Amino acid sequence: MRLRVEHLKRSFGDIKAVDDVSFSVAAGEIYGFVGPNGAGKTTTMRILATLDEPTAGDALLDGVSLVQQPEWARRTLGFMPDQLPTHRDMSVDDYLDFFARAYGLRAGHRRRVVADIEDFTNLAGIRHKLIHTLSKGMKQRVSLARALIHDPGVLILDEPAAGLDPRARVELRELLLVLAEQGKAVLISSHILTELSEICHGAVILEHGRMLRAGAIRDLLQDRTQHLVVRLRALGEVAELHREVLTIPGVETARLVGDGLEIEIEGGEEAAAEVLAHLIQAGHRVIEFQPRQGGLEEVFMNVTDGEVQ
Amino acid sequence: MSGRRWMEWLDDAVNPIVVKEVRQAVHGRFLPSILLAFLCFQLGTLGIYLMSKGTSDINLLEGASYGEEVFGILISLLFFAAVFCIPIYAAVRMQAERSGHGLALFYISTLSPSRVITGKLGSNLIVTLLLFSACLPYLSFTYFLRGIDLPTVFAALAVGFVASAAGILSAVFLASLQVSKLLKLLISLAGLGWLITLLSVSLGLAFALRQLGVASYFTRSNIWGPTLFSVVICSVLFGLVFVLTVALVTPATANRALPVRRFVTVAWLVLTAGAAVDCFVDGRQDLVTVWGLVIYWFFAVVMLSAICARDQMTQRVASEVPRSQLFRGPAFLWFSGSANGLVWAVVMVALTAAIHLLFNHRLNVEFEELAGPQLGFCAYILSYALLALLLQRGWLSPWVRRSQTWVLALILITLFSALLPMIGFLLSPESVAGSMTFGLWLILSPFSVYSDAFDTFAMRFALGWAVVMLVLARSWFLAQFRQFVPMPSDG
Repeated sequence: MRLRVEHLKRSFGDIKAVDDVSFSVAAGEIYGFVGPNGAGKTTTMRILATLDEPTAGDALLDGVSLVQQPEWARRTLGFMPDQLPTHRDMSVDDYLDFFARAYGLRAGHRRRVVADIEDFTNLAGIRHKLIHTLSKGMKQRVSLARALIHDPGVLILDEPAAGLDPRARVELRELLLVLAEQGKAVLISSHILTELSEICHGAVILEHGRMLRAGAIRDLLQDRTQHLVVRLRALGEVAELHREVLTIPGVETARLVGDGLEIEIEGGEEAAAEVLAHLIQAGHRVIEFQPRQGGLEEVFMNVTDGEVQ
Repeated sequence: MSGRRWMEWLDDAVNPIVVKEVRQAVHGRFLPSILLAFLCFQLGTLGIYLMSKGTSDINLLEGASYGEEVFGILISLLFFAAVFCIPIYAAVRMQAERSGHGLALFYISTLSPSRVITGKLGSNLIVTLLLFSACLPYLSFTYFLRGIDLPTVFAALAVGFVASAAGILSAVFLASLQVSKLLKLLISLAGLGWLITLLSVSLGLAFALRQLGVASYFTRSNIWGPTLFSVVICSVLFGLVFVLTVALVTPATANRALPVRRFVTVAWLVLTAGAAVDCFVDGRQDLVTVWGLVIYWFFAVVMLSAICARDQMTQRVASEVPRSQLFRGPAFLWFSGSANGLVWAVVMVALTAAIHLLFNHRLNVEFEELAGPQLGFCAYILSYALLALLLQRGWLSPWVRRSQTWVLALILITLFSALLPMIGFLLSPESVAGSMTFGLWLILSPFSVYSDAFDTFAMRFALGWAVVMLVLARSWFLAQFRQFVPMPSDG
């Protein structure tokens, strides 16, 4: 199952909450949806979950419009909102059973599905507990279990890791990887970029409702390789090395970090090799020349300006 | 089918919202505590009453009416809980879900809005039934204390149940409205007033039944006509509030107008058929008069609400527009949108007026006498609605939101109705109400059609004004017709 978003726009009066966003997520892929607060992530996700309609553009599930066929889409996708609604006086089991009924699951099959989902999301031990007494992490699990109850092909998760402790985050990450292996297309928004870059196949970066970058993680990092940050250490006087480095073509900046330098090189790996050759030729005894592994976080910081709308 | 499979089928057939809400009610504190309080109160009331009378005073053989007195106390408490407390409980829960993500989450399942509302209604009626079942043994016991018969007890309970259903539906409807805090407060107060009225009327009926006995009703001659009339009117009102509630919780991007207009059209047909029977078969005018008044006023309200609807179709609505040009014209009446709503209301008023002409012919009554004022009133409201619409869409949109156009129309009606007579009074203080001189100053008031001295002139003026307004709004209407086209196909 493939989710394709085409030139999606959503305005509230004069405010453009989402402005021409396009990307696609294929079956078995996890895509990160990142951006500062007010970037339009939740609005986009609500449109994809059929809870809102775009001003223009469309979102397609295997070629079928979510906007025109919302009833069909609801059977095909699972949505986990950023917070679980307050359900007083309701146990985990009753809550999941209710949604299983709401999706039209029948008697014996419904009971089996609820039990399986509770096992999968590690809720079996607390199935009789009332939801409003659960911790934030457990509530997030219940919310994920609800989104999975009808075995959707596409999962849309809005800030699933918000407020979770480190252990719960690791467990959530593992669950998502299993879901992707099962062939589900997963779109996940999160502020925790280091975690996203570990599990995501691709990412969509939004700011002020506009899409700044979208694509596979390796493609996004490819951009980064044109602008390398390298850790440099050599035997001898570091101040002299600092002066020397700044004279080499391709080196943009250099700053002292500990007993070495951090230099920015324009031109990618070719340019970095030239810089290293230049240093050795100049007689510097280089003992460390290591490009920094920045990942998604660095890409995000480079392309966004940090302002909120 | 085996017993187990039959039970499973039944379990699947129950509305999921009913299952959820009843489970919540049972797990919560409200229902168990109210049931316990009820049982304690009933036991206490019966015990105290019997003890206060003393065994020597309770002579069950000599025309005693102790049962009647105890029944009065118990039924008052039961009705208070069923007609007042349970609807408030339903409204509070609905409001909480409307303001959070709860109801939105229902929409990402396959539950339709009508199932959501049916479920809300059903679950609260089950709570009412639980309450009734807790009271039934004690109410039945009053039969043994004399002064009341069992059919009357059950008839009173039926009255209470219907009143409770009406209260719950009204409460869910009001809680579904998404309005500002101030309006919410006003609506809550109006809702409380309505529940108090409903409680008073249902208790009044129950006490009248206690007084006269249910058998007295059936000994009257010709009970079926008024009974059928009451049932039809109550069903239409109940159905109307139900479809309106469903429309309120349906996503704004959908064609919310369709179920409401479908229901209203069917109700219009039923009521018109009833009035026709009364007119052509029985040769009476009573039902025709009520029918006309209700229908014209209803469509006047429709016109005021239609101008608040959107002008642009959503993608989802556009995808449902028929591709065939032949069907697209009639379909225009059944889609959400301000022009669609106005045209539908005008068509329905025109149909009503045409049928009214037939009724008048049969009854040998002048059109101006029976239908004229109502038609004139509708024409006035249409004119004001179009004036407000043109002002809002043309110049006032930065200050008046589209959803507030009805308020603008009401302000215009009040302003023109009150301002001109005030000027007239200042210029010609000797004028008296009802005379033609003063009447002319009232020409912009929709209610001038009801003035005896002035009705025909006012009606003609109103119809003329409506035509002028329609001509002024023609470019807006044409734009709306032109954009009523289906989505381009993918191919």
